[in-house]
Amino acid sequence: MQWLRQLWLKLRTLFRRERRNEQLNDEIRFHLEQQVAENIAAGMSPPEARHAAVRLFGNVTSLNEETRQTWGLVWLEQIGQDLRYGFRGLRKSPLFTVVAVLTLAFGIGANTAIFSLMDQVLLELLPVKHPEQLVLVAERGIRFGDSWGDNDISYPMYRDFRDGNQVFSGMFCRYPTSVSLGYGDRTEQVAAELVSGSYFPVLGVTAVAGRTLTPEDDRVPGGHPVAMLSYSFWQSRFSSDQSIVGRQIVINGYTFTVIGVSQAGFDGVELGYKSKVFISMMMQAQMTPRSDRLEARSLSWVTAFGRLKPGVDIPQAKASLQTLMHNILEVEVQEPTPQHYSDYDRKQFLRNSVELLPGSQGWSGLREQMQTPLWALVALSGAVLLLACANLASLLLARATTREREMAVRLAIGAGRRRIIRLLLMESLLLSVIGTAVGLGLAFLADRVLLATYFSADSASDFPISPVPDGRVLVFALGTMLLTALVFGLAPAIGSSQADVAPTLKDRTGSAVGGKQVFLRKLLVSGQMALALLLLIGASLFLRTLANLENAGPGFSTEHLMAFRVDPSLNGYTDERTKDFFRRLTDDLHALPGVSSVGLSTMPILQGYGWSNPVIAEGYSADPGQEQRPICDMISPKLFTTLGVPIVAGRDFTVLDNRPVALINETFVRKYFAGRNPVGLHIGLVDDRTATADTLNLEVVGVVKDLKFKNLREPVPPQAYFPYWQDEKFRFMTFYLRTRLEPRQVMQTVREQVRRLDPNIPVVDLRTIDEQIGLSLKTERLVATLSAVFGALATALAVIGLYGVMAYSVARRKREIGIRVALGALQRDVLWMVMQQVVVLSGAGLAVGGLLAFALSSLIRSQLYGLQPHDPFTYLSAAVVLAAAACAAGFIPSWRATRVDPMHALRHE
Amino acid sequence: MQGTLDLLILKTISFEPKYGWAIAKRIQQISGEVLQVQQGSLYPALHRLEQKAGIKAKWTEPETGRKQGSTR
Repeated sequence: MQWLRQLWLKLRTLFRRERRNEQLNDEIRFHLEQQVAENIAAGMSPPEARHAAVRLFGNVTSLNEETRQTWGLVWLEQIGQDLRYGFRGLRKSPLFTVVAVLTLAFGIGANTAIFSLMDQVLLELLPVKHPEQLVLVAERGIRFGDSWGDNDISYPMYRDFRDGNQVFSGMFCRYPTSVSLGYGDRTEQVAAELVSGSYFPVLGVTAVAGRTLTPEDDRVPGGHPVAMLSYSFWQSRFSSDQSIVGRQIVINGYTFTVIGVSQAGFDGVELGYKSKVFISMMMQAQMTPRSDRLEARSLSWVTAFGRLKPGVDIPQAKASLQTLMHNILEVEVQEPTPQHYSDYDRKQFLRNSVELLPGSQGWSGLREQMQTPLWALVALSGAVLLLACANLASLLLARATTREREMAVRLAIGAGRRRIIRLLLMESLLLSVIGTAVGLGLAFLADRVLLATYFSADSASDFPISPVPDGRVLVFALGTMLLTALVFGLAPAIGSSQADVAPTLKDRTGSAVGGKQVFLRKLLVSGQMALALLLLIGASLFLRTLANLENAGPGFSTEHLMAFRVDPSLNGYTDERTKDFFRRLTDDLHALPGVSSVGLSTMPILQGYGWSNPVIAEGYSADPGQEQRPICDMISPKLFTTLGVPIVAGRDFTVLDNRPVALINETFVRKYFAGRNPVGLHIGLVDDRTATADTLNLEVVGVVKDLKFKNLREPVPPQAYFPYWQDEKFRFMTFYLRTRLEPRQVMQTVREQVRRLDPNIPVVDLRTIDEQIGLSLKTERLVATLSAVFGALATALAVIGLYGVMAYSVARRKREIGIRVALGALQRDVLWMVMQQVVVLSGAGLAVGGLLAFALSSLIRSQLYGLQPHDPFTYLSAAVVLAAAACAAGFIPSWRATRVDPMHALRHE
Repeated sequence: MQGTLDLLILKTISFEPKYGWAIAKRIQQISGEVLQVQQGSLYPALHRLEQKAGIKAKWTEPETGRKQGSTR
C-alpha cells in the first residue's frame, strides 16, 4: 500500500502545485524570519542579521528547486511543457508538419494494412479454449493408399490414436466437404464440416442455441441425422431464428434435425473455409456419396487434432505416440497393399513416424499458400517505412539547422542537453502520433480495397478476414509509432543538443553543425536510393511474374469459354441416374443456340485440383522408389475440342467406346513411351485401395497436346484421361462450354437448362475460364499490385528526399556559388558541380541497392515464374528508372544554382 | 551524509511534531556539523522523507510555518 500512498501524494502535488509552491515559500520565509529574529536578539543589526540568516540557509532558489524535485512527477510536468512547446513548434511550420505527417501516414499505413492481413492469416489463433494446447496429429513416411493431404490420416488410425493415447485429454477429427442443403423452397450447396462427436467438447466451443454435437452423436454409422449450424450461417440464412432448433432440414436428400447453433465467431478450424453446417462423422457415407471411408485404412482423409494434457509438451507426446504408432503400423502392414511391398519397403513402412504440428491456429491451406507472399510484403512495407523514417530524419535535420540558434539560446540560459533531446523527441513523437492516426485510417481503407479485390464478391462474405483493426493491430501500430519516432527523431535531437553555444550565437552562418548534418542527410539519401531500388526490383520481379503467368496461359484459347460444376450425387442420385443426367444435360446444352461445343471433366481445370494415381505402362518399368503418379481425369468426348486442345495422334473418345480406353498427353508419352508410338499400347491404373487389377487393361487410343491442369505455375505433368461413363466412383462434373456469343449472355440460359432437368441441383462456380484464371492468380496479383504501390511510394520518397537535400545544400552554398560565378564560373560548371553530387549520391545508393537486391531476391525464388531472381533486365530497368527520377529531382536545384545572382548572393549574408 | 541527516530529522521529530525551523535548531544543537554549511538543505530532506515514508506534514495557522510530525 506504500506505493499507493506515494502515488497519491505525487498526484496531489501535481494538481496542487501552485499551493505547494506557496507553502514551500512560506515555510522558507518563516524559517528565515525566525533566524533573523534570533540573530537580532543576539545583537546584530537588522541588515546584518538578514544577511547572516541567508548565508546560513544557503542558496534559496536552488534549495527551492531541489525540494520541488523530491515532490516527484516533475518529469510528467516537464513532458507536459515539452508537449506544449512541441505543438507550438509544429503549428508554426504547417508545411513541414503536413509533409511529415503524410510521409509517416503512408509508411505506417502501409505497414498496418499488411500487418493486419498477416495477423489474421498467419497469427490468428482459433477462438477456442486454450488453443495453445492443440496439436495436429499427422503421419510421416511411406503412406499406402490415397491421401487427401500431407497432414491427413485415415479414420481407423484416428480411432486408434484416440483410444490408445495417454498424452491427450481429448482428440477430435474433421473433414470439410460441400453438401446440398435444402430448407423451405431453396436448395443450395454449402460448406460443411464432418466432425467427430468429441469436436465441440474438446475444442471447448459451446452452443448459443440448442446443444452441440457430443460423443453420443458419434456412435452408429448412418444413425445420427443431426446437424449444428454455424452462428453466421444461422444469422444469414435463418435470420437468427431461435425456433430453428428442432426443425428439419434436408442435406443431400436426407432429413436432418437441427440440434443447435455454435457460438458466435466460430466457423470451424480451417482459416479460409467457413463451415456453415457441422455434421456427425458417422454420416460420412451419406454426406460424401459413393465412398465409405470409416473403415478404410488405405485412405487418409481426416485431419486429427489432440489436446495435450496439462504438463505434457510436444516432444514428450510425440515419443509416447510413437509406440502407439508402431502398434498401428504392425496392424496396417497386414493390409492388402503393404502385403505387396518388398521386404525393404515393408521395413521402411514400419518405421513411419508420427508428427505433431502446433494446432493453435487450426489448419489452413490458405495460410500455407500465402505465407511466403505475405512475409515478402511485410518486408517490402517495412522498407517503405524505413524510407519514410529516413525522409523525416532528413527533414528534421534540416529543421534542426534552422533552429540552431533557438537551441543555442536554450542551452545558454541553462536548459540541460537531456532536456533538449527530450523536447525534440517529444516533437517527433507528436508527429508520429498524428501520422499514425492518419495511417490507421489509410490502412483500414487499403485493407477494404485489398480484400474486395482479392476475394470475389461471392466469396468475400465467407472469408474470416476483416479490415477492421483489432487489439493486436493497434498495438503493432503503436509500437511502430514509438519506434519510428525514436528512429527518425533521435539523431537530429542529439545533433541539436550538441550545438556549440558560443560560435552558434556569434556566427550567423552556423556552418559547424550544419556541415555535419548535411553529411548525415546525404548518407540518408543514399540509403533511401538503395532501399527504393530494392523495392523497385522486387516490384518488377513480381509484376513480370504475373505477366509471364498470364502470357503463358493454360495451353488453350480461353476466349468464349466458360465452365460450371454440378454434383447430382448430393441429391441422392444413383450412379445410373447421374450418368443419365450428365448425358441429357450435355445434349440440352449443346442444343442451345449460343453454344458451339460442350465437354465434361471430373476435375475442374486450374482450381488446384488433381487426382494423381500410380500408373503402369506396357514396356515400362519404373525405378524402385521412383513411382510416378500421373494426373488422371474422367472426361467426355469432345472435351478437348471444346477446350481447343488438338489431339496430336490417334483419336478422341466417342460415346461408342465401351472397351476400356485411355487418352494420354505428350508428357506422358515422353515419360513412359519414349521413342515409341503409344497408340494401341496399354496402360493400367494401380488401385490403391485394393491393390489388385495391376493389369494393363486400358488401350491408349490417342495423344493429346500438353495443357496446364492444376494451376498455371506447375510444369505440365504426365496426364491420363478415361471415359467417365466407364467409371463408377465419380460424383461431380465440370461442364465446359465454348460459346458463339459472349459467355455472359449464355449464363442465364445455362442455369435455366440445369433447373429444367432438376430444380434442386445447384450450379456451382459458373464463370468464364478467364475469370477462373484471374481467380487462380489472385495471390500473384495481390503481391504484384502491392509491391508496385510500395515501389512507387518508395521511389517518390527517395526522390523527395534527394530533392530536399540538394535544394538545401544549394541554398546553403549560395554565397559560395555567388563567389564562383563572380570569379567567372560558367553556368555549365555550376550545373555540373551540383549534378555531380546528385550522381554520386544516387550512384552510391543504386550500387548498394543492387547488391542488396542480389542478395535478398533469391528468398522469393519460389514466388517467381518465367524469370530468375537475378534477372539482369529487371535490375537494369529498375536502376535506369530510379536514376532518371533522381536526375530529374536533382536537376531542379542544380538549375536554380545556375540562376544565383552573384551580387544578390554576396550582399545577402 | 544524506542518510545521517535523514536519521537526525526522524530522531528529532520522533518525540513530538516540530516546525521546520525548530527541527533545524534542534539538529544543530545535537550535531553541529551536519547543518553547518546549509541550514536550508533540511527542506529537500524533509520533503523527500515525506514522499518516501514515515512522516506527515501538517500546516498550522497562522504564519507559524509547516509542522512536521512522525506517524510512526
